[in-house]
Amino acid sequence: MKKYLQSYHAFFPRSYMKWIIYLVYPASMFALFFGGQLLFDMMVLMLMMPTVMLAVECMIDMFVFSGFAAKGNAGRMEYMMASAKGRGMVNRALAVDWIRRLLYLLVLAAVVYVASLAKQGGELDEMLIKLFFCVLTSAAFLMSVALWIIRVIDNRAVQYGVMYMLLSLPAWVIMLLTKQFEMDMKWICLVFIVLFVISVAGQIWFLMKKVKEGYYDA
Amino acid sequence: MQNTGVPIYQQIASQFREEILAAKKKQGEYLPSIRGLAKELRISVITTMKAYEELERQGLVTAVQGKGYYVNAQDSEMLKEQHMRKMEEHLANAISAARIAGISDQELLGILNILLEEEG
Amino acid sequence: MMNIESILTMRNLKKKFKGFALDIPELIIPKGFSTALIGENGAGKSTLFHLISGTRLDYTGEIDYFQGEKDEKKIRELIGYTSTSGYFMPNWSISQVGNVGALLFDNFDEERYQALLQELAVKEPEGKNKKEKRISKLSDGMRMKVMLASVFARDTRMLLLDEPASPLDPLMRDKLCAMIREYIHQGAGEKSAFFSTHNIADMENVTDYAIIMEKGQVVEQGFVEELKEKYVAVKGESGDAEKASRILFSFQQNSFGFEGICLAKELDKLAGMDVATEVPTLSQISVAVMKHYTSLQS
Repeated sequence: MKKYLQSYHAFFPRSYMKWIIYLVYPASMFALFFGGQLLFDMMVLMLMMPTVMLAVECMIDMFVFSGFAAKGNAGRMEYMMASAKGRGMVNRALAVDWIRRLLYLLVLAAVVYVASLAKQGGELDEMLIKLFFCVLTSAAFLMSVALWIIRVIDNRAVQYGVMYMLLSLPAWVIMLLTKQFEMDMKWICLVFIVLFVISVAGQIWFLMKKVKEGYYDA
Repeated sequence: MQNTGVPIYQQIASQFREEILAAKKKQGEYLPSIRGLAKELRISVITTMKAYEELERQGLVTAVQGKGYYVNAQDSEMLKEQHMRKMEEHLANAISAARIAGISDQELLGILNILLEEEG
Repeated sequence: MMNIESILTMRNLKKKFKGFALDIPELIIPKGFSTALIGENGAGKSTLFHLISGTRLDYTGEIDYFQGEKDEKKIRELIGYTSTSGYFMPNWSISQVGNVGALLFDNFDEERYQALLQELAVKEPEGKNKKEKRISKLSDGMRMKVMLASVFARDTRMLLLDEPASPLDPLMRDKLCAMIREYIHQGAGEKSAFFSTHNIADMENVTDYAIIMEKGQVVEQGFVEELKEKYVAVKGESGDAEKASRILFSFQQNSFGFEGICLAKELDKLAGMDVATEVPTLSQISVAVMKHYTSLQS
């Protein structure tokens, strides 16, 4: 466990990044969700939270794995390359990072679900909670796409461009799918979950391939 | 030390030779390990090795595989013979140099006599 | 000399870039000694070290490590490699290098790493520096010292140091030599060092074997004491300069006369000239060899 975390933390730009990721970021999310209820309607908050998370995760990654697999960068960490365990370390770091993110997504889902249940006095607004899960799963999938791009392209402007483009997508995608194809939201969620899993697995495979190529591309 | 013109390995070898001949290093005693001496004298391993090989060539020490170099018994007969050999070698060098320069044997002997007188 | 065992044996090693080709038919690095790789910029020294360290894998030919060791993981554990650039992640702090080092290498001793940092004056004793510098904020010399600490903190069998002396000040170069010598001494014939250097004079007293490269090829190699017998430094007067220039291996004229390096076997061709001979330094030999081959190629 310690080995896994240390591998992950090796990619943090500063030691205070640990505080940001493990404390400041989750605390702010809680504050936003519960504090926001004083200002906004619950529905607005429920649909906003996944998009906020998408933005925050993108920004954090611009400082953690930013462009590490870009051409030329993959071969820049000779200390790791000289060790037989170097690639294992990168692999562990990527895995821990996704486990951490998945955990945050699950916590968000649980908190929102329970909070909305409490708000309605024990009765669930089925339509709204379905919509929330649609937005959440689509945001998760888009997150995996965004991070994939951020990790492969070592250019801040492009990274921000990708992030902004993807931010507005969850809402649009859901509207399009429900209006145009009259798809059941349950199935939309499932499709996004499948896409998310494929995208994360594909990403880790692809990034590891890039790291391996770092030994060859002279 | 490095400016005296005498290679370092020879300086080291001659220092050990003096110690051995003066019986400061006893028969059967091992010389310091090659890498240890290199570290101590702040010189390369190969220089130390060369110095020890020089001593071995002079018959002062014997190498034992994996154990190092120990000091030989120094009997005077052997030493004399050794110096004899060395002297012959130098004289042979002098002769060949003289031949190249076209110096006659007569002249060569003359020079040797002069040098002998100078040495007293 | 004596029967020399090898720590590294390279055969038919080839690697091509645009406008450059490394081509080494055979090269043996002796075990238990310290070997220097000498050559101009672009001669292929770093490329060779990349291949040996396993940080570049696209080459043809074979490298035999530690006389037949085949286990790649073990080989990487036993080699202590430092490079000239892009070694650590720029955002790492000096202590983080220690944490990562322990993750990457089984034989990494974190306590020893901390002790070495103090010994090399990278870190002040406990408590004095609260803020830790990041690798990207360090000077080249400091970064080199961190690399050296990370390598000497491991129980390796071979040091593979690419230009370790260049960024160091004279005092630290002396320290580096002492560290290499100590490493060789404590290995008692089992540990070897292989480093590249431009600072030949500074490293001469820790160099046993020298390899000189020119344009991707090994042009001269041998134990330093043998090279010093093969080449002779010569000084002479202006009158003989013209004739000597045709005999000498490398030749240079100045206002007082000439000087150069002569192959020992050709020394008697200088008979009749008023010349003074000397045992050359490794630096003199290297420069002569490099000049000789550069002029041959142009």
